[in-house]
Amino acid sequence: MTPILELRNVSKRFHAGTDVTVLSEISLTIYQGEKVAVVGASGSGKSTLLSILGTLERPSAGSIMFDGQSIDELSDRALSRIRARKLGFVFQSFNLLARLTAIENVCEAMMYSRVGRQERRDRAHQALASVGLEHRLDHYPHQLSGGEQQRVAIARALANGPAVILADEPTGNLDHLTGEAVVTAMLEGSRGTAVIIVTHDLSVSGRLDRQLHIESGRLLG
Amino acid sequence: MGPSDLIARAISALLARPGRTILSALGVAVSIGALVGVLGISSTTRAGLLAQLSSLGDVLTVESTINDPNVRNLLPGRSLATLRVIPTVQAVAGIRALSGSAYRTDLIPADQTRGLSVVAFSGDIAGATGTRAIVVRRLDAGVALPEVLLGAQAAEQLGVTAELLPTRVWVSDRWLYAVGILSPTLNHSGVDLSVFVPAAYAMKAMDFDGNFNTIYVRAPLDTSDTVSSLLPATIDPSGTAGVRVFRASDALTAAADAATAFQSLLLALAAVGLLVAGFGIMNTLMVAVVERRAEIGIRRALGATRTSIALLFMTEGFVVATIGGLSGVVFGIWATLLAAWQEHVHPLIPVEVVLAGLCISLGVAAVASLYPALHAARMSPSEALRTMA
Repeated sequence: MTPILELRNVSKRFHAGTDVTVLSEISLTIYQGEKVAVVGASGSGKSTLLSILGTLERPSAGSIMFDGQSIDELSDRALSRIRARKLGFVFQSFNLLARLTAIENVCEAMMYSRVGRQERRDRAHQALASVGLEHRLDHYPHQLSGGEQQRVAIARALANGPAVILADEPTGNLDHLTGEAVVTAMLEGSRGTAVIIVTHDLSVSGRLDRQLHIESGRLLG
Repeated sequence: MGPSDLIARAISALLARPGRTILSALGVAVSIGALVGVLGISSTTRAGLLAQLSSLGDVLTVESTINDPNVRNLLPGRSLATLRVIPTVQAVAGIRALSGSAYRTDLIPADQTRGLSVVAFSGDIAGATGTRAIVVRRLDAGVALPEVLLGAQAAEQLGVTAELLPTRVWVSDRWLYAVGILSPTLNHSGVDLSVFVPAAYAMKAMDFDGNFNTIYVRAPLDTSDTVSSLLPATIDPSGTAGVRVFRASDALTAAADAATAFQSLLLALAAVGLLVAGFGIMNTLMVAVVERRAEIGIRRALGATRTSIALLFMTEGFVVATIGGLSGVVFGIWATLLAAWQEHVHPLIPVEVVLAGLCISLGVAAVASLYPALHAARMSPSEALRTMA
């Protein structure tokens, strides 16, 4: 198996009057196509870990390899390029752009990876069809149910054909059945893509290849 | 993210808050409108003036500086013939103020002069004063009364219109026939308030000695300076009359320059307006940045660089300024056309003023949107996303 993301002794500290260590000496490897759950109590550092894995935040110490390359010294522009081309995000509160329709939201993700306009639309159409939303292409977020909005977000994450999808509590705002369906859509659509899901939901973590337990910023195993 | 993507997103964001967008654009529109309008109107007025001057020629007024009522031979009548010989001179006329005034009828009390003066004239008075004898109706043969011309305002004061000509007017205690009305002079000189009696009649019946106190000479604008320098020596070779020459073009140019001072004040006000409009755009964008933290976070997660985020907000500023700038230019052009129409002159809107208006509005947008754009670009993506969650 080929590693796609490797963290070596990664720590994250914040300065809020006093130093707060949110992550401490985390080392882990995520392999291509692997489905991983990150579980732990609230405030244990799961979301911060996801932000670091998603290059949205830089670690205070330690090093990160993405697809065999160190990203520690990369510029903001280079990290943005990695996010645009190789990473997909799914958030708890869906995070769709309210002014855009479902298909436009999906297209938006490809705009930053310089995909041509027509190709964006074709791929967005395909991605939405793959999550069962072909009939909702021109609906605005407020015209969609929570489950549908999350499926648009999944389509947006999948549309670019990323190497890694990072999902932060993707079922947190959904009922159990809808949550199940959303996770199914995500797992089915991401064959060959590594998926890292931060979740409290045992039924979600149970469906994945591996569970990483975090407690007070430390990886338990 | 190409320019068309940026513009499309900026327009979509602005359309989401139309009221705010219109108010921001209005600030720019008013200032740019004032700028284009002020410069357009002044250019139009100046161009109209120059066109009139160059079509009519310059009017040179020659007067004696000797202010002694006992000196009668001020500007000799024979000098008119000499002046006509000066190259490029187009028309020459001399006048001499006579006693008395002019009235519509002999029943009007003598003290109600309405500021009119009676002058004896010789030569081409309409041509030399840069006016046109707009209506001249000759008397029928056999009417023995002498014919007079009325200045534009004199005709108005006397209640004489073109349709009434020829008509009797009471001039210096006698009936004379008004046969023509002169058009108004460009510089609203005393000519407009005068009643012109032919010199031949005035010498015979009104105690006029044939010498003038004012001589008008018309010459083309480009040679009026040279002609003006030749006049004193030609009229008064001995230099005893103390001849002084005034150019109408000087007075008109001075008037146009005086208007420029007022124009500077208006332009300064427009500049202040632009400054305020700039702060308006900055404020609107700052509010937008705060309101759209979540969007900034999402876009950063989707791969937007800091530059893309900054450009997104700057483009919104540019779109607002362009809407405002274009509306302002249209407003300024409309104001100039209206002014030109009212003053019956050909409108002149310099292209550089229009371009400057648009460039200035874009410049204001660039400065005003820079701070909000940088503020948005510097936002940490994870923090922006956390705020929303």
